[in-house]
Parts: sequence; C-alpha cells; structure tokens
Amino acid sequence: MNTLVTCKELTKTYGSKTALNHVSFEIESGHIIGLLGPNGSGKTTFIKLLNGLLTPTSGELYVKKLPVGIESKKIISYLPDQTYLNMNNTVKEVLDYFHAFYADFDMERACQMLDSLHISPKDRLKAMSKGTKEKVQLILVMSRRAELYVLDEPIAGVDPAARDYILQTILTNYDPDASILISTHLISDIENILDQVIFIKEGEIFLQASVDDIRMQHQKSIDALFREVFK
Amino acid sequence: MIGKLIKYEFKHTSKTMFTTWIVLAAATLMGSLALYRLDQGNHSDTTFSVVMNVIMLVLYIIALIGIFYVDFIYLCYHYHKTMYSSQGYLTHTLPLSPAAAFSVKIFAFFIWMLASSVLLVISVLVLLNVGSGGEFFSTISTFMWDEFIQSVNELFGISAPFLIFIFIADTFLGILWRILWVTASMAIGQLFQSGRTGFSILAGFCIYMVNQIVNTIFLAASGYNLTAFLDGARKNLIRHILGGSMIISAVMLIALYGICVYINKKRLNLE
Repeated sequence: MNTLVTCKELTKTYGSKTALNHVSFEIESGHIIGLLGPNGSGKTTFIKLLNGLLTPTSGELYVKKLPVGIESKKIISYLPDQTYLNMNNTVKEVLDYFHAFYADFDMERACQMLDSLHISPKDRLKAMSKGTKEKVQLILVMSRRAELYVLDEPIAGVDPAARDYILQTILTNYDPDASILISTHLISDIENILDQVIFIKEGEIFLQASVDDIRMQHQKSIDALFREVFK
Repeated sequence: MIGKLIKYEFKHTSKTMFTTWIVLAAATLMGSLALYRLDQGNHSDTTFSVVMNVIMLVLYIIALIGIFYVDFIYLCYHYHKTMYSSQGYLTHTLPLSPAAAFSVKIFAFFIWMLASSVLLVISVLVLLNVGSGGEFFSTISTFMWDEFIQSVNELFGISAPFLIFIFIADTFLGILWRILWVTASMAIGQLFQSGRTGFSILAGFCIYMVNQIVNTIFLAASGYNLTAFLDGARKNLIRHILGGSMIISAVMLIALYGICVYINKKRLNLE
C-alpha cells in the first residue's frame, strides 16, 4: 500500500471560525474511504484543500509526498458538491474538454456510460434535469483513470434510483489500485461499499478505522455508530 | 496545455463576442445609411424621414459606446464565473499552474477587447467616409504627412512616428489597465468570507485612487503647470510626462498582475 494523502496538523480558519483544527491523518491507495460527519463538520473544507481550491491556514498537505499543485491535480479526479460545468456546452463539448486536459481521461468509457443512460453527446447541459446533470458530471469524473477520486456529497439531493446508479457507477469504474474518498452524511446508503471511515467532528478527526474493525469492536453498523457519535 | 486553454477560452467566449460584433456591423450599416441620406438630403425629404435619420444616427452612437461596455462587462462576468464562481472549481482543478490559468484568461480578455476597439474605430472610419461622400479615405491618402510631422515636432518636440507609437502603446496599456484593475479587484474581494461584491468594488475604488494619487504626484514632481505650458516649455514637459506616465502605467500593471497571481496561487478562497 502506498500513501496517497498525508496531512499534518492541517488547520483552516474562516475569520474567527475554525473549520479544521490541527487535523492529521493519511490515506492509502486501494481503499474506499468515507469522510463522514454532519453538515459544517469540515468535510468539504478538507476536500477543497486537497484540490487546491482553498489554502490552509497552517499545517501541511501532501499528495504522493508532493504539495498540492499541478502534479496532484493530474492524479485526483474531483466531483464537487455543485455543478461546475458550463451549462451552455453540449455533452460532447465537455467530453472533449476533459479529454484535452486530463491525460488519464478514458473517452471510450465515458461514451459507454453515457450511452447506457441514453444521453446523447449532442444534448445541451442546460436542457437536462438536475439529476441528469449530476450523472453526466459523475461520468466525467469516473471516466478518468485517476489514482484518487474525491467525491463530495455525490448522493445528496438525488432520488433513491439515482443513488443506486451513482454508487454502481463508482464501484464499477474505479481502478482497484486507486482510492476513493467519499464525503457524505448519508451513511446508510454508502456504508456497504466503504473499506474505511474517517469521522470528522467540529473540524477534528474523531475516528479513523476500517469498517470491519468498527463492526467487530462496536458490534454495530457505521450508521448506528455515526448516529451515536453525532447525536 | 496552455495552448489548449487558450483555444477553449476563445471558444467559450466567441459566441457572445461575435454576436456583439454582428450588432456593431448592423449599427454601422444603419448609421452609414442615415448619414448618407442626410448628406444627400433634398427638398423632397419629409420632416419624418429627417427625424428618422437623426434617430438612426443617435442609435448608432449609443450602439457604438454600448457595445464596448457590453463586451467588457461580459468578459468580466465570464472571468468571474470561471475563476471565482461555480466554473472556478473546474478551472482551478485543471493540471495547470494558477499563474498560467490566470494569464491565459487575461490574454484572451485583452485580445477580445483590442479587437473590439479596432472594430469600433473601423466603424467610425466607415461612417466618416460615408459622411464625407466617400472622400475621407482618399483625403487620408493625400494627407500632408510632411506638414503633420513638422507640426507634431514643433508642438510636442517629438517625432510623428513616436507620437503614433505612444498612442498605440497607450491604447494597449489602457486596455490592460482596465482588465487588471477589475481582475485584481475581484481577486481581493474573494479573500473575504462575505460581502465579496462590496469588497471587490471597494478594492477597485482603492486601486483607482492609488493610481490617481501616483499620477498626480508624478505630474506635480514633473513641474507641470499651465503657465509653464503656455510659456512654451511644453516640449520637454510633454516628453517627460508621456514617458513617465507610461512607466507608471507599466509599474502599476506589473503590481496588479502580481497581486492577481499571488492571490490565485496562495490565497485562493473558493468557499
């Protein structure tokens, strides 16, 4: 196992509010990790720091032993918690855009996934429903042969059928040597696919353990433990 | 990678820009037609047709000024959307340095505004030619360039080609200044947690004031005053002021560029 992400004493403050407080942990390759915590616990802040969209107040953050930068962006495939595509574009245009900028983008895989959803490359994004836009965005992200997939709330705000599709897409399209970091507070929907969990509470790491260890030690599901910790 | 980003930057903005240029072409045609009809006016023209021609000319002038501002505002909006709003998430996660991403956007912004400015000038020239009954361009070709060169030298103490160079350089610097003024204001504004628009406007005002103060100090230090100007000391003064102003503009542009790159690289805050 290789260490993909290392953060040491990572702190991020917004004015007087501390979003992350001296957080230290590592993420290794080959795992599906749930970054779990209630709203406002610091999950999205960490993910944005990892993607270079925010800068830390203090501490260190490395991806494959390199600071966040061009090299880390080459190996991280990021799905934000909002739509980040140009809505005036067609699906083909966004496919071409990803293909142009990401060397690991698998066009064939993307086209297959779009085809299975009956989404035409000629369709314009602004004409699509919210759920379809999210699926297109997920397809773009999962069509990269990245080393780390960072998915911020991928199943929030979608119907149960779409959730199933999203989880299935994630599971069937990632390289086993890669890692997936999924941020969510909808534990019950995703706990079956997780290898590890990181509980984040008020900007601090409350727990980092494998799902099997938690079930053995606590004799309860991740969802039940989450509800106990964050009640 | 930078080449690809330039290509996509132009592609994403071209539709709107070309649309405004088509509007400019239509407005020029309308203005030219109105001016031609006024120029060729005869006694059979009704008051209505004269009023219509005047209205068309006024609309042309409004379109001329409006298109420049529409282009500028649209490009500012596009810049904000792709740097600090939803699409910024994509821009800043591309495998590019923040400086490269920023520079490409500024480059495209500059080229579009330069092209818009050139087209606006061409539009005015076309109108002048029509207004002069097609004699404007032929007059230019027979223009007394020798007299012009001599007059420029006598008046300002500089050669005519240098004056033209100054005019072109000043146009370039002026466009760049406006772009970097806005982008630096946005970059500073996004450092704040809330009220970003307000802080951007405030930052823009502060940058403008700093520029004004620096230029005023420079003019005062140059010994510029109206009496000296009228007394004939204008040659050295103008040379001094022209050179100094350009140096100040260049320094300000470098400072604003540095602010933008620093903030995008070290203080990006896409909350």
